Amino acid sequence: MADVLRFRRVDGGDHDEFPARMDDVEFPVGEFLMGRTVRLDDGTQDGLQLIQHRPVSGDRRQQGYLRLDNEILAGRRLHEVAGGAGYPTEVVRLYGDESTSADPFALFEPDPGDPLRDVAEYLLNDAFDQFLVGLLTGLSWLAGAGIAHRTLSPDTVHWDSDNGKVRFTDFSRSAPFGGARTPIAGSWSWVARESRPETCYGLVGPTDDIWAAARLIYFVRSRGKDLGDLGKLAESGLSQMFNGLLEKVFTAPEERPTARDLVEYGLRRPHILPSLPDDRGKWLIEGRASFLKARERAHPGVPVPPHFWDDVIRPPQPGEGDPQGGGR
Amino acid sequence: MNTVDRITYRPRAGASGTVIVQTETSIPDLPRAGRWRHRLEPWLWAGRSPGAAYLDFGQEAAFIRFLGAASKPPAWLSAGVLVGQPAELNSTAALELAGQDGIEARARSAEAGPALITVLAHALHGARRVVMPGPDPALAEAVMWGFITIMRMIGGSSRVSFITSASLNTPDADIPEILVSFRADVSAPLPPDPGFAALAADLADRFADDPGRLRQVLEEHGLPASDDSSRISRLLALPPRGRPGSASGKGTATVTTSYGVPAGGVGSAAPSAPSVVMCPVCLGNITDWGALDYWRWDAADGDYVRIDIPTDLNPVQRARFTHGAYIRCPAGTEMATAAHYLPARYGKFGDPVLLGFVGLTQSGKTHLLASMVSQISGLSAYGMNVTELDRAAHHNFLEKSVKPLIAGNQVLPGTPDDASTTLTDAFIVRQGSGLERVVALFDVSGGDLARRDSTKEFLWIADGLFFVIDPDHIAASKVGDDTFSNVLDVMSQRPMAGSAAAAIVLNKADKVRFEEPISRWLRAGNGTLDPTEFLRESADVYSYLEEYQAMELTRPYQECRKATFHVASPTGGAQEGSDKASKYPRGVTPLRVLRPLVAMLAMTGVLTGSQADQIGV
Repeated sequence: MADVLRFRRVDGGDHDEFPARMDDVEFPVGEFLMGRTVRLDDGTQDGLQLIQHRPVSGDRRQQGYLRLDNEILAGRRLHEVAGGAGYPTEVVRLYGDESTSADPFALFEPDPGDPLRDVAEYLLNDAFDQFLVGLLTGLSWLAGAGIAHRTLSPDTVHWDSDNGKVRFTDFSRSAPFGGARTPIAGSWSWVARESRPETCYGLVGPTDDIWAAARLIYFVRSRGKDLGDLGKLAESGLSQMFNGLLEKVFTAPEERPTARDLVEYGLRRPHILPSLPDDRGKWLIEGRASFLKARERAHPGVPVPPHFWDDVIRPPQPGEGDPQGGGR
Repeated sequence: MNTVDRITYRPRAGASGTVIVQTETSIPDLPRAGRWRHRLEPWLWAGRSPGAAYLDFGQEAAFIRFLGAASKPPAWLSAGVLVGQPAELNSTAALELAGQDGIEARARSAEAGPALITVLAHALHGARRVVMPGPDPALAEAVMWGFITIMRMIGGSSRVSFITSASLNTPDADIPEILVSFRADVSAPLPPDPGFAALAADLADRFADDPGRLRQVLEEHGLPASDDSSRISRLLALPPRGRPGSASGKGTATVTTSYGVPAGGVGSAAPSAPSVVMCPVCLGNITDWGALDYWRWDAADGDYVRIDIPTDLNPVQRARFTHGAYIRCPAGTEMATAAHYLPARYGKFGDPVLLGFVGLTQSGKTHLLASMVSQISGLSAYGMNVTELDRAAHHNFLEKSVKPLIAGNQVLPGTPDDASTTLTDAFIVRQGSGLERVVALFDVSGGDLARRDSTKEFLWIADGLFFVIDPDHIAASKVGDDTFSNVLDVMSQRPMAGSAAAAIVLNKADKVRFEEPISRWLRAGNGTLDPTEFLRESADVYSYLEEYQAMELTRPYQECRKATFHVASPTGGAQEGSDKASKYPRGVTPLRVLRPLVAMLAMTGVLTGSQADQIGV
């Protein structure tokens, strides 16, 4: 079907119109989201192939709008944080979006990988190492963008065997750091306690994804088995590989190591971490400090609440500075 | 921790006017001292020297002594405060601390009699708020001494707070029981019910003659009594006094049962009708609310008609008869302005809390108000029970604004420029089992607010204002927003300067929903009452405005008594095109619209408690 798509490319500029051909076949691409293949007319014979994500029709469409917004926000943030370094290869790449109309959509580049659920048993030796590095690098990018994926699992994390790349897909439940956690329905194998409907609490932060990520590492290491008890980490060699830090992932989110901690103090391979700008959140902190000055002028002597900064500045963790103890 | 701690406050000149600062305290815990400052601040602004206040907040109490004459607000140079638990720092101890020689003798004097009778009559009738003229603070202390003594003799267990010299009204929702205010701006008290007045006069006379004899007579007749109704019936059964000229010498007092019963309010918690209600339409004082005629809207005639109420109705029949009634403002009539009407229950629940919406045309004030009302039942999550004040007006607003927006996804027309102020909707709000308060919402056209020659009446008495910002206007707002400036000018000229609270709302935030930190807050749900959460959101929205160099839009934060910043989206998405007849193609999903209202209810004292007290500071 030939048509015209009007959207804004993620790399900037105003909305523009592009001739395009859309497939009629639709498939699920996220919670309350459907996808279809489109080909933008870029002068080539086949056109530029992209996957268009759209809210489902029917009574779930309102939720679909919100899920699509989540995908667009994550994509835009990742693009911003990558800057001149190019879009991270560990996440499915947002190409552009149309976020305001009655029929909004996001366009993603196709992902040639397969779900880990289908290919985990084949990731041995070097492939496992590539997977490990890719997973932790991807998480570091997400932390740099201030986004938690929140639904990492063998279904949403793909493996591109041709290029040896991990790729995170389906950002429909992602959320920016600092917001209140909303409950995630799903298997307890992949949803941490703080995000389960019955026990949901607290604010989204940089350690939200590490719980499912650590289980994914075991899943791949064990060739497709769920982590039953923590003793399996030692049996699989992962405990030693991470210098005992992996066990600390299975604690409360406030006490968990980040992906960066796992790389630096667990694997002790800091050179694999992506080069991220270190000013993310800096302006927010500076802005808050400016507000507190205004507050002091309006209400002299009123103390700042003790946990005021906790949602933007991660408080020091117990044992930090002691690699064996699980800190930095 | 000391049982009773001391604090001293003094006024200081600040960059944006006078501020009240703490200069000394025995409280070692800084946050606790800070909480006291904010709890007492409205009382400190209201108090005058010489004068004193005893404030029983339930768990804690404070005694304030205002000292030193000052020519500008606050009307004192130093305020010495004692704070502690009411068991240690009660009203009698406070009056003893005031140190007036011969206070008991003065309480029994003819000079104190009329005021004592009035306060006592209102209290016996169940009033929780009594406003009295206050020309002499020392006499007011004596009156309170007599009142508290007599109440103890008859078994009145209510805790009594008082302020002996106040220059303005105070947000008093955190005083759970009786409050007697002696005000410089009040010339006469609300006349008490004649039956209770006679009863009070009899007690005051007996107290003046011989307190010991009064106690003995009361004991002989089963007093003190802990139950209100048996206390009144036993007082009515006291034998006539032999002394000629006494108030009770005229015969047995008869206490009316219908006086003060609110329309439709039978069975509800005892309301506290304020002595003086200021009309939000004409600013006139309505001093006799309970005695005004009732009116109803006659749809056929298109006008209000008076309701003739038979005199022999019992309270239930009377309530049924006057359900949904209005009163006609006598102040407006006397001033020869157009006749205007208010719901009969408007003045029956203490001082109404007036909230208004301020912002440029098309900033989304009407949509914000409509979506707030659509979600107002959500206040139950914060422990508040809400019912409409005027069913007809509420129904009208639902039909004309809320349903078209929420169910019909329709873009609402803006509020037309209009010379008159009208109540858009109003609610009776009660937190837990606390006092009921009327919360009235006003919507005014942005065009009116932007004109310097048009100052809407309610702005002069508004308790809180929502300053509404459209993100599209931010870039153009480096030099400010005319509506904000005009309204803040009015605020600065009010006799109750600085007393309004402000909720500054980045409205239509869906337009910038992918920008940080808006994205975070717009997704945060309705949240909790945690004051840190309100402070974080305030800080982040302030930062956002600062980033866009729109600091003029933050002026209300510096100039209002308490203030918060918010993000909100009344519709959740943009309208299709700019045509006024267009719709919201995605449907309407309000986001974070209740948060500014929750903050406002906390800042205006409707929502109380330690968490609510910290919101907006």
